[in-house]
Amino acid sequence: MVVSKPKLSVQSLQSVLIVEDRAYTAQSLQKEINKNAALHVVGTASDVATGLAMLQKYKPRFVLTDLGLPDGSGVEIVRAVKATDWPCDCMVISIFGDENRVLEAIRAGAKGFILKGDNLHDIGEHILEIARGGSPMSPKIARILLKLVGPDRNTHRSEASRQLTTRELDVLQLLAKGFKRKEIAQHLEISIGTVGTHINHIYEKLGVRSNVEAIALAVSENIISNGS
Amino acid sequence: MSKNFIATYVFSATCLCLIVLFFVKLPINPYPDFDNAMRYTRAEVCQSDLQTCQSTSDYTEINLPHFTTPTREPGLRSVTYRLYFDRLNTSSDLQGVFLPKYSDFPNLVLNGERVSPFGNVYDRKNGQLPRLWSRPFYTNFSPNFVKPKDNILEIELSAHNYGRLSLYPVYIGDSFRLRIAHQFRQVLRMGFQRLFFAMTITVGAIFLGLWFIRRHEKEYLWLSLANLSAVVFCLHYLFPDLPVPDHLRTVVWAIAVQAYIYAFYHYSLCIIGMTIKPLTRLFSVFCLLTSFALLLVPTEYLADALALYFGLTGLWALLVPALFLKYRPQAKLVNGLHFVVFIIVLACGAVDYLYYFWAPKRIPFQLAHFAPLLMFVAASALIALRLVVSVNAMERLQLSMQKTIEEKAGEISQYEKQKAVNAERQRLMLDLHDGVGGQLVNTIAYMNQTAKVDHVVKTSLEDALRDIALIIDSLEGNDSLDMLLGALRNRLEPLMQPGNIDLIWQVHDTPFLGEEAASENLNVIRLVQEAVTNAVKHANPKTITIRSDERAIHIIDDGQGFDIDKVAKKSGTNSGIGLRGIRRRTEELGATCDIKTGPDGTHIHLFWPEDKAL
Repeated sequence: MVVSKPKLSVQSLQSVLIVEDRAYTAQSLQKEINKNAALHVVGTASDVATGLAMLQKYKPRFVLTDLGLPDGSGVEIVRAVKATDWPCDCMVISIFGDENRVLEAIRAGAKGFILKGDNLHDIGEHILEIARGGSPMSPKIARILLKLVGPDRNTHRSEASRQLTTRELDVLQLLAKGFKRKEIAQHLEISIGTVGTHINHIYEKLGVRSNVEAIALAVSENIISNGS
Repeated sequence: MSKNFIATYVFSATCLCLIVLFFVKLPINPYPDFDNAMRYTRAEVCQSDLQTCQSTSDYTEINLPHFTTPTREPGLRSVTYRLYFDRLNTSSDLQGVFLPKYSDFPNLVLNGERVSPFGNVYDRKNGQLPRLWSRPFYTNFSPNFVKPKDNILEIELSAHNYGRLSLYPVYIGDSFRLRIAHQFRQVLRMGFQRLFFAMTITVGAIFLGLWFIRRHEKEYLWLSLANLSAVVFCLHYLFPDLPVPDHLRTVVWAIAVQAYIYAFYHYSLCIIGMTIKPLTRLFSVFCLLTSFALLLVPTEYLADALALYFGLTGLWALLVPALFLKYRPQAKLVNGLHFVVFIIVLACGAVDYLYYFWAPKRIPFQLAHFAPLLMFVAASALIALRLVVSVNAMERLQLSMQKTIEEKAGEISQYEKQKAVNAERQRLMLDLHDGVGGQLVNTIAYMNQTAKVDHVVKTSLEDALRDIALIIDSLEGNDSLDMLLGALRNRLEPLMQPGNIDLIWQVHDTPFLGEEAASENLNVIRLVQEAVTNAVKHANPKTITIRSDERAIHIIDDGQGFDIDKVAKKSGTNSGIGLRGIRRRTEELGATCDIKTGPDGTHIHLFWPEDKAL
């Protein structure tokens, strides 16, 4: 299998590694990704160990990983990708894109998530879009983040909320209510690109800048406060 | 000083006068008649010692109590009283004499024979006579000395200090009865004096200790200083023959009384929590000047100086109750107690003042020695009150702390439970995601790859996947309706793609079903999901609109509509169940569901009545 040298140009063929334990899902993903002229799948791994080995072997431009793997969590893959010395983006494969651990993975360094649900059309385009910086944010992830920054007694949260601008909070609120980027742009009278920038900023501010463990803890606390 | 304060001072003075009047006019005879004894209120007096007063012509008749004219200079002075009495017929042979009150040193001679027990142990000439003014006297007569009739009892009283000599009514009669009266009197005077002295020392030491422990509470220091002063001026009760020059002793005694008042003035300031600097300075200067002046006064003017000294100090002392009356009215109990005690103590002092400096005959009792007792009671009450207050405060604190601990413990256990529940939920959610969810996705992927696809099976699997999403929603707990609808939209999107249906999202306000309305919210979400799924499956619409406001949710499609009656009757098919499901959920929500359908589409209008609080 020929491994093309990683280039940032969209036109050139870019390599993709899939880490997914369910065979048919992995096949479907591979098939759909390969349909995109700019991408080609260099390998599929069905567990963390193989995934890590393949990562070093193929040095792919993109890695798609499931989170629930037989021998561990996909977050390990995410961390490994983040530590690579070549340009490599990791995305998480999720059924709904709304699990806490998807957010956790994004905080750990994943660029975004890919839905593996019932429709895989244009998945390649999705991957490229995310690579360009358009991180998706599902309403539920927005909601979890909103609770993280919401006006609350918890110091973690208030510190986090101080990091976000009013506009970013508006965007986060509208996202949580299920609005699409285009609708948010219309509602706030800004461009779709600006909405994307806001989303990226939200991720950056709440993910990269804070301690991952602390935020993961805060997330679990949120879930607790949800139930009480 | 404000007018208000002057009024308070005048009020205190009035109270003082009334109490003094009460004490003076108290209808109690301090020298009552006893059984088996005669009370003598008539006697003859000779203003000299026994040796000089030998002739009957030296004596003049007087009533008892009798007081000599005070002298201004110290030196041995004597007065002799002569009483005639007949022997009383009592059951006991033994008879005696009882002098409840006299001044100062007694020497008794019955029918020419000395009967007082003191003898000549004291050097009378050199002023070494003990001061026995505060203790009663009793002695019994040898039966041989008492004649049936015309006994002569001579009572010689001597003193080596200035001031007056005095004799109160004399009792002669049954020795047993008089001894009891004497003992009673002794307890009342000397006993109490000694008891109060001991109390004063003890309490002073306690207050000093308290002050050492709680230095910031200066009132304890002032109380202990007051007690120290009291110890000084009470010393002469206990030691009648202190070898101190009379003038100096008197001055020290007077200064101690003033210091006592000065300490209580400061104590009162501490208790009311004020510092009235100009007044305090004035009082301090007054005390220093007057005390210094008293030290310099020649002995012949000492009595007048003392009258002035105590009179003026008394006027200052009236400040103490006035201060308690005027300031800190919120501490009514403490201040009221202080006011009453100080007024009574001052009244006791005033009674003694009147006795010494005005008219001893008009004053039936001397009360000053009760002052330390009253102070002791007041101070003890104060400490007890403080103890009660602090114990109460501590108990309250303990209770509230206990309550807080219980609350926190409850919260923690609730938190732990919730944590366990949440951990379980997380596990379930992950299982659903990775297990059933992953399996379903995998199966759908498989079906997409095979040529022959059973669409019924595939749609069912996709429905199942969405159901799992809903179950996960329900596991995640409370959320507001708009957030849940937002999540639902995300999941409905893929459903729209095959038929190119536009999902128009007009959700801005949503009905608020309450803080704890997880199941209601989920019911609404399921209802919307069913309505949308029905539309996608059966109506073939171009657009589906979800619109909501504070009281209603609309699901509108532009599909082909359906016959409500027919669909409702059709049992066992998906659409029938869907419609029934919508109706059932509407009922559970206490809402109304209006379904309009026709060839132009279907409009499901879910709304809550106006009177239902949302």
